[in-house]
Amino acid sequence: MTTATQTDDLPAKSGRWKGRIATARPLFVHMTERAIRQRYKGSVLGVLWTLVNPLIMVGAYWIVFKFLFGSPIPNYALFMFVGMTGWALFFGGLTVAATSITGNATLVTKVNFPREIVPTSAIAANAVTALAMLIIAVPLCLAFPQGSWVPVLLVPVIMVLIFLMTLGLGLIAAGLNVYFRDIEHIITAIGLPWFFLTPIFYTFNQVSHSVGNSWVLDFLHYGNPIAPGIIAIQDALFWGTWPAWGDLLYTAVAAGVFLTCGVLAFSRLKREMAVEL
Amino acid sequence: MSAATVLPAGAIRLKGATRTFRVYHDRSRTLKEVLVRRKRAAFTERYALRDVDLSIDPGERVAIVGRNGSGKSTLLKLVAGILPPQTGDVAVAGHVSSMLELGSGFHPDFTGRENVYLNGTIQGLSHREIDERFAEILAFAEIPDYIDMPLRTYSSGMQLRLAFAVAAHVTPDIMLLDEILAVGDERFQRKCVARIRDFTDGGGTIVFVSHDAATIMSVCSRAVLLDGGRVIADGDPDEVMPTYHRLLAADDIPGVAETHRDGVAPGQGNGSHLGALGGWGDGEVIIRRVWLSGPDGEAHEFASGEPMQLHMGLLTPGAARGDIVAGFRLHLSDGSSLFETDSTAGDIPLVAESGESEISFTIDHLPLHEGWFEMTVWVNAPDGAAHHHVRPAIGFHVRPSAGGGGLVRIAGHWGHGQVSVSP
Repeated sequence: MTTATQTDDLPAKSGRWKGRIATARPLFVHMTERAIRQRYKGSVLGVLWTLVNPLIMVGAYWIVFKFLFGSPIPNYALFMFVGMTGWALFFGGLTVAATSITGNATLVTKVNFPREIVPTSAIAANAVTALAMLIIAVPLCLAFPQGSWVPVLLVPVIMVLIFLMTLGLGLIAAGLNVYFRDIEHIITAIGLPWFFLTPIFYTFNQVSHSVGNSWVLDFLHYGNPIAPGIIAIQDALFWGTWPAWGDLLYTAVAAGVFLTCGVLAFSRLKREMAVEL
Repeated sequence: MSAATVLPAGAIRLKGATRTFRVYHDRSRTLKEVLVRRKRAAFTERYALRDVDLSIDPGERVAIVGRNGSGKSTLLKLVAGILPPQTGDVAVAGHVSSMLELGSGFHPDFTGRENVYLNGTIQGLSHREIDERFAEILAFAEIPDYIDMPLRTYSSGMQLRLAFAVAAHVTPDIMLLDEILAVGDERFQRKCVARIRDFTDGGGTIVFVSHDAATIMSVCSRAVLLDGGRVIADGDPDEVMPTYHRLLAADDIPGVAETHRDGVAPGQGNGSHLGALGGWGDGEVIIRRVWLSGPDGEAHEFASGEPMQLHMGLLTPGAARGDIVAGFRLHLSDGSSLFETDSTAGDIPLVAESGESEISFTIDHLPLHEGWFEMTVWVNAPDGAAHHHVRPAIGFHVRPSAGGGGLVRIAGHWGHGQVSVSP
């Protein structure tokens, strides 16, 4: 037996980390598999089913903003769908992460294992939805191009950055929700306004003429951690242009900061988890 | 958690380990409340473990016993690394596999096979390692027809089979079990016990919580008795278990006496006028002391078939009462009665002299086999008026003196002969 030792006499810190990751990996794979199977009932049809909700939303928003308000954005439904791919990865992940530890209370209170696996695998399982949306969005964007196809190559990088940002925030949400059970409700409550303030069914360029103060737009752009990432995806995938460096850099830094904070916060919060659950 | 010396795999050391819990008076704690309320939520700090020193070496089979809420499960969680101690040290060397609750680390919608993989990875095995051991696990669990069925279709006994099979094949250094073997049938329990012995013979350590005295006596090399979060006895199960049972019995005396006071005229007090034993009655004759003796004098433990004598020391505060009727009831700690008799069945009438006197009941061969038994005793007037009743007055432990099992000893012998077959 080489894994999962609690001994204090392990040789070096690096060896200890390796040992931990070696233990955690198969469990992570299994927990993710379990979450995927629960969510998608283990079938392609199940994955398709989770796409119904974003598609209905796209349909409704299309009626409101294209048909009633006459948005100037071409291929409006596809534009929205691209933005929602990033949103689904981010906010969907945050939501499932928040309830992941409390939902696995029996496991956390009865078995010792790296607790980080629980929110991580929940977020990973949620990413499958975003991935499925991406698989639909990419060929459609290539079929109805607004620009070059080359920037599409950047999409996976942006998605990974958003994933890491989600992971950081998700760890904090999962850990805090153990101590304050209303965190999950607070997250649900802020979901809709946050969605509206994120440029998913509009672009900042499109609305800039109606907003006098540009600092308001700058605030909406950079005060919302997910906005630059979503704009970057829209640029690379839908508009076929290279995303702005500012958006990419912002997303990368935000991912790094949130992930660091998340890991540190969770390692503090996890100690007394079994008591609070 | 700084271990001064390197512990051998399978060793457990607790030093001054203390764990408290906050019991919040109103359960729900939310961020909203914390922000809105000025006052901090009211809570009571409860000790689950208090300054526990415990040193367990590789290869030991240790039972943790104690009343409900004495800290047994908390102790296991500390050793498993699920909870940290607040103060003190917990050092555990080697790989730990734990079964603290049936079904934890299992998923009801997954098949048995999938659950073996899930649980195996939770316990720290890699996918390949489980592949290698799968056949063995399956053979041990003996549920071939169910292995591809969802776990929710399993009985609790079948879940235990699967869980124990996985836990036993993780090849840990330390195994922790919390009171779950009880749901297995007897044959599977025997199999588990055999596996536990193999495991500890190979240098593995096992710590388990149980209430089953027979299992503890037959499996464990050591018992640790917890009470109120402290270790109050630690040693050979033969010595610790009677202490545990006395503790349980002591628990009953005030409470039960209370509930059995109905039918007694009010104003007779709380039994304090009846002396140290408490109980109820008019107190015209008081049972001062109850004790048991065997061939070697006063004892709390008897071998099956041994002679035993029940003694009652009486005090008659007033004038001599003349005839009295003394009786006793032999029962289990849950109150279920085994035998009851009183002195009207005897040859000589009992008389309570003024002052102190003693009466006894002699059993030539104790017809009990194994376990913990209790006695309720009383002294009445011939017309049935209760002088003093004490329930239970005393408890004792019986150890088997020959093979067999169960509570009572039935003397007899086997015979054989030919059966004549009629044409």
